[in-house]
Amino acid sequence: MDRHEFLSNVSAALGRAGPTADVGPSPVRYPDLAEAQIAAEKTRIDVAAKSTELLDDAADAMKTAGWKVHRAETIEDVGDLIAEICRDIGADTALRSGHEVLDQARIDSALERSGVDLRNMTLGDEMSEEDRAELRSAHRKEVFRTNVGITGGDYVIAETGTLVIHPKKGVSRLTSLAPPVHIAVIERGQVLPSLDELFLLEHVDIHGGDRHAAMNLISGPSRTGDIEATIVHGIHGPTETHVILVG
Amino acid sequence: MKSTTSAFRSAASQALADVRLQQAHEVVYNGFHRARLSAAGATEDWEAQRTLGKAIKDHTIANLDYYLDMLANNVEKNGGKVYFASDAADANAYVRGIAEKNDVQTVIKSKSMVSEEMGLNHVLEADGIEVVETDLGEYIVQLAGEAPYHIIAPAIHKTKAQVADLLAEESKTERRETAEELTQQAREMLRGVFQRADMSVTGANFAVSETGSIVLVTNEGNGRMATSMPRIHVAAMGMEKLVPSAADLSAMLRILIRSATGQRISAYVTMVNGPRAHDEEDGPEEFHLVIMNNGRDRLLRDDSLREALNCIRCGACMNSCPVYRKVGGHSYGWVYPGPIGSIVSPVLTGLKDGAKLPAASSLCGACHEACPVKINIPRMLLELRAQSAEGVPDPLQRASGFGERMTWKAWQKGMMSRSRFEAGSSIGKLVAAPLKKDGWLKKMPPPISGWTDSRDFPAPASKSFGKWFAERKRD
Repeated sequence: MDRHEFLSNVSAALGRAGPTADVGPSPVRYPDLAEAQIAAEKTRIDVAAKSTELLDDAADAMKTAGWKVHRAETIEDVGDLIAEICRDIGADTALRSGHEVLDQARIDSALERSGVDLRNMTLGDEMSEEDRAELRSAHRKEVFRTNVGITGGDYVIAETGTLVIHPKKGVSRLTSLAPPVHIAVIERGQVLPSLDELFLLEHVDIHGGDRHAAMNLISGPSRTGDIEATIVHGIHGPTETHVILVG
Repeated sequence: MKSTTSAFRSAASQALADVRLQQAHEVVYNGFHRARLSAAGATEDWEAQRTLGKAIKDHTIANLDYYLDMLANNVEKNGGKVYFASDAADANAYVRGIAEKNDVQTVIKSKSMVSEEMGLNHVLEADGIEVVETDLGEYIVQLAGEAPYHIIAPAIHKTKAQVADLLAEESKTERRETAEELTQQAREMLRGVFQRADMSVTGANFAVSETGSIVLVTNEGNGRMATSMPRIHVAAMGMEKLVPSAADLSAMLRILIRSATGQRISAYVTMVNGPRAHDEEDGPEEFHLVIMNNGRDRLLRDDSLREALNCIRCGACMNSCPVYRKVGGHSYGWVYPGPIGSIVSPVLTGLKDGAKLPAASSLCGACHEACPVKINIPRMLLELRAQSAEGVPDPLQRASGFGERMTWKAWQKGMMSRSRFEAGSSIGKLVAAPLKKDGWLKKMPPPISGWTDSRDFPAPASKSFGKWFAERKRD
């Protein structure tokens, strides 16, 4: 149906000729962008000031949501921790995202030492379209065969125990989804108190031109209760989700 | 989906006699209902959150034309395509067109009530396309050739043994036993489907006008697969399922998930802002949003029913409803069961056939109390009863029979005058006298036998209150 006709019918059902120009504010709408930016900045400052407390809150909430929570004092400890998790679950293949925190943690060398075949299948800037298509297709196959997916993340939400990841170049949607085990590395300072702060920052970013094609909120392992209401993990996503909180 | 709402009574009787189903209903009650209550109890300012949810939806629906226009503009700005469908046939034709143009062989579905409304699976299958539901419960009912039983737990009526048979038959592999083994089996079966799918069709728990996004809430991760694997993603939504901004979304997610399963958040919430970026490793190259009316404008037009468009499909009204808990989801005969379905189904599919649904309620108010956006369902059920009995101009289209209407007319006349009332009750006493036994009427002729077959009715007193009171005054 023609869009104009559809919307005219909706207007008519509301008893008017067309959409009202000024509908007034929604009950919780953000203030104008300049004010929202100030609020976002304040949120970032608060989050930094309370980062230790928020990290503890996140640890508790993530545990409740079903994450296996590991704490690392420094970034140097992360590589060995991941190698240890891989050893515990008997993993010998892993796929990593391009998140910088994984480079800082030098997980490539840590996993090589422990004999885990770790791959990074990020698209390169210089790649031709053919090469990209080939890498994408190889990645699709690999991600369903690999034992572990390792990623960083954008934020963690203390209210709900949620890891937030924006898919983008180097951060595949499937790395945190298809392998049976997902390990995420999050640093102190990345924890937001609640969904409200997340969506405020998101709102400001989108209006500032920093828009991602998607955002995934992940709160523990994949679960279903569809067979006689028995909760079972790992129907489509990971059976086990680990998070390493650094700092 | 074809409506069978007119068969409510017979379907309900069957469900009531099925011991297995009655046990499954108790599981729904004990699981979701109690989980919701405890989540609400553990949430600070729960009442304030509900009030806010209602205010957000009231505002959105009152300005639906404005926000739909904004949503469409922003989805297009994000690189997606928008199609406005007047009805199910229109929406199906558009989705078929996409499939045909792209030579689509396999479509994966991620739980979508609107696509049930469209009857999309049959339309695509008729074109020779493989269509597979990926929510485990939906997959099970699809294999069984049935409709979903409950909006959150579609296969709650199936036993483990039945599921084991269905999965073993479909996969032609060994029959598994436990819920864990069966889930693993389904995981393996559906992985193959994800890998060969070229198109996904999902619903949308919310759309956000200001950012041009749709939001998928799942626990299984099939919503994420549907937005990661296939080349084309089509989301279908009813035209009421939007909120103005991300701030509203935050408030709505909080009440939706707590009300649906009692979780603070579901395992996955995915916000889709259009097709993938050019340098992403995965994600759909094309994104389409289908916004469907399909009779919703009738709810919008009617001030007394408009509130039904506030529904966010959490299922709380169903889990709290004493009628739903006994008759189950299939009795309601269309996509949306339970109290809210009893409002939406008759209006969307035709008041005459659906008229039994608004009557299938004791008006106890549990649904109103449970609703996260405070929809006054009992008020609307009464409104629909009145409309279906009296409000339709053509008497033949009314749900009430001629005899029924005349009976109530006579009743009304009788009750309006003291003398007619007294004459009427004297006649009633005379008629009842020979049937009276120990102060009770135990067996009455039709149509009153409908009552006395299963319970006794107190016999009229030998002296009316009026008479007794008059004599007492004289003393």
